[in-house]
Amino acid sequence: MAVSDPTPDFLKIKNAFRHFATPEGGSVRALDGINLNVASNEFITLLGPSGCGKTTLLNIIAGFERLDSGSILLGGSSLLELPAHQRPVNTVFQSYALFPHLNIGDNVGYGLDVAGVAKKERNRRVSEALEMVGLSGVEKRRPSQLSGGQQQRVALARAIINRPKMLLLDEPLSALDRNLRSKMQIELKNLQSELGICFLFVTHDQEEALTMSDRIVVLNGGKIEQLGTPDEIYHRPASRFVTEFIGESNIFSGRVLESTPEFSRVDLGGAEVICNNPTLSAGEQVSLLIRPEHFHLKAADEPSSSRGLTAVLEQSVFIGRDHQLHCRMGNGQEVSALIRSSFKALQAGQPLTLEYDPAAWHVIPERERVNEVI
Amino acid sequence: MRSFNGQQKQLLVLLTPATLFLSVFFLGPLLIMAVSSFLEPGLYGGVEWSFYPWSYGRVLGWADGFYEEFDIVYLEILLRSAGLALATVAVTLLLCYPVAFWISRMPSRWKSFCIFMIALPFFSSMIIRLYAWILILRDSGFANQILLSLGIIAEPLDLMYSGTAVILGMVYIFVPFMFLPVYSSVENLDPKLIKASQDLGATPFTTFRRVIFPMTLPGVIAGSILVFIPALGNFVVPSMLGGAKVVMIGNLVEQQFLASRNWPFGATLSMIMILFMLLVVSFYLLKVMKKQHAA
Ligand SMILES: Nc1ncnc2c1ncn2[C@@H]1O[C@H](COP(=O)(O)OP(=O)(O)OP(=O)(O)O)[C@@H](O)[C@H]1O
Ligand SMILES: [Mg+2]
Repeated sequence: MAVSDPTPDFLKIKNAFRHFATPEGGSVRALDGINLNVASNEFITLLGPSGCGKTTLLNIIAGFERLDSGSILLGGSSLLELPAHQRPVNTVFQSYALFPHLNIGDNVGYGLDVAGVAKKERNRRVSEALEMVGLSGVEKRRPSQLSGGQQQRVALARAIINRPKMLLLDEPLSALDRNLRSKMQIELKNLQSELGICFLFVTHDQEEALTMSDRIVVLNGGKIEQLGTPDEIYHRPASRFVTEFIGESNIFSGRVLESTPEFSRVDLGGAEVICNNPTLSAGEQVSLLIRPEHFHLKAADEPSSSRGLTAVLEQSVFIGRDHQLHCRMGNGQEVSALIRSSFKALQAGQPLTLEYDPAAWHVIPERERVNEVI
Repeated sequence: MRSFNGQQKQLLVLLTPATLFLSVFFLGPLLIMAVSSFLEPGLYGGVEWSFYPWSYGRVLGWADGFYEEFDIVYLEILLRSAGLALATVAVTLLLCYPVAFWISRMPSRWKSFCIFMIALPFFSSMIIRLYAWILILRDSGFANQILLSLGIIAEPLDLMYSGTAVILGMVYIFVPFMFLPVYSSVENLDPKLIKASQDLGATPFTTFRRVIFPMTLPGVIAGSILVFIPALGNFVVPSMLGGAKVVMIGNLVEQQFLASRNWPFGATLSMIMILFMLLVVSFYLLKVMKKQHAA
């Protein structure tokens, strides 16, 4: 399968709206003005809490659900007029949806069979697809005779055999155990770059989204909260929602005391921190984020600096390589920090200085939502 | 090994009541009937204890030609009955299959209501319900009155006492037997499979042929058998709606026992009907299973 040059705006979703009536007589905005452009070779992830509209968006692209208003273009032509079976996209369903009355070969070959591909070509492509997902020689078995992970691979092979221009994956890994899951994450990512097609991947697992994606779309209540690379989403969240949804975070609200082009001093109510953020102005109220792993404990022989938060250790939890420290500052606010486990034993009740790099602070923008406008 | 034995014992205990019941009330009568079909008819009903294969001869062609004569009409009646039963199966299936899909997509409150409505006729006597059909179908019945008053026909139609009337009555009686198994297989069909089929490029018709139909086939088979068997042996509907014109094998058996008082011949006809049913049903099952394997 030849990898062609990527097209930047391969999938274009413009002002997509979709609402559902609820039995109580109200209505839910499943999609509330979605604007999204996806490149033809991109691994893009829809991430968001349950009910935020991820499946709805996928269903609309696949053709199982209609749009109230808005448009969807794929490769320059509108998708919405085509019935589901004519759309050049394929889906990997959450529960796999393998045909129980067909064996694996016939499941994978289904797309070719309905298209009337000749037997010889069809068989060649079935084994090729199964080989791509690392599952050869199971053609004669039934879906019920395979493990969950194997069924997952069959669903994948079945979806790529028609050589779609885009693959839709609705939480394909959620039924797998942790180890298999991380293995499949890597395989999926490899498969995507091998095929050179666009993967629209749905998950509500932020770790999964951060590992796999070229870009992440964070959805909340049918709106895009933020669209960006995993790095941007993690280190420069655009809203409080994204900050809280992605990763562990410490969020403080404070008032800017002093702002110079080099640094700002912010009062967190009894504690003062220094951060590198030239955009702040004195007197402003801000929300600040610092990730737990950006704190470190100072060894006794290092010189102390003013760039530290003092807090009392309440609990230290061993989580493998690291210790998670739950601390409380003098003003009563909780802080959590992630510290390498090799550090000397810590006791609850012990006062600590959590040191930070002023560049690690991120100012959370106050506007509630950021929608990409095209 | 030990636990397996324990399991076997348990199974034995659990199966005993059903086995006893079936042997006393099903196998017993069947055996009596099989034996009497080879005995000589008594003068006023009952049997004489001597071997007498001529009852079978009457139907199948080796009658002695003296007391008993071969008559092709019995086989004709059997085949005609099978035809009527098959027609009943076909009509009930055509009615129930789409309705099952329709009901399975309803909100659950409506679903229960509709299923209740379909089962409702069971609450009243079959005879009474068939009388209602007589009131509808007879020359001065509702059907003819409506058609006449609408000016569609000038003369009342001869609706009663025909094969069509019998099929109509049997369809009416047997619809629930077809509906319930078909509905349960439709209800169990995962809508995701239909989506998956469409997603892979299948048109609605191909999706029906390759996914929906094969997945609901077990229900269709069960329903067909559940309708075919009682329809083939039914004698109430043909005697009420078919009159003397439409005699089915069930009527023939009834006549032998109650009117002609030739018990062995009635038993013979029953045995032939049972064998015929077994043949048809196993042929059907074999054919379907082969097809399922091939798919
Ligand atoms: N067919 C429908 N009828 C009514 N409401 C619906 C329908 N489909 C979705 N919704 C509603 O639309 C919203 C978005 O649903 P959707 O399935 O897209 O969520 P999701 O992001 O996929 O959630 P999850 O992570 O739980 O799968 C929800 O509030 C849901 O209740
Ligand atoms: Mg979903």
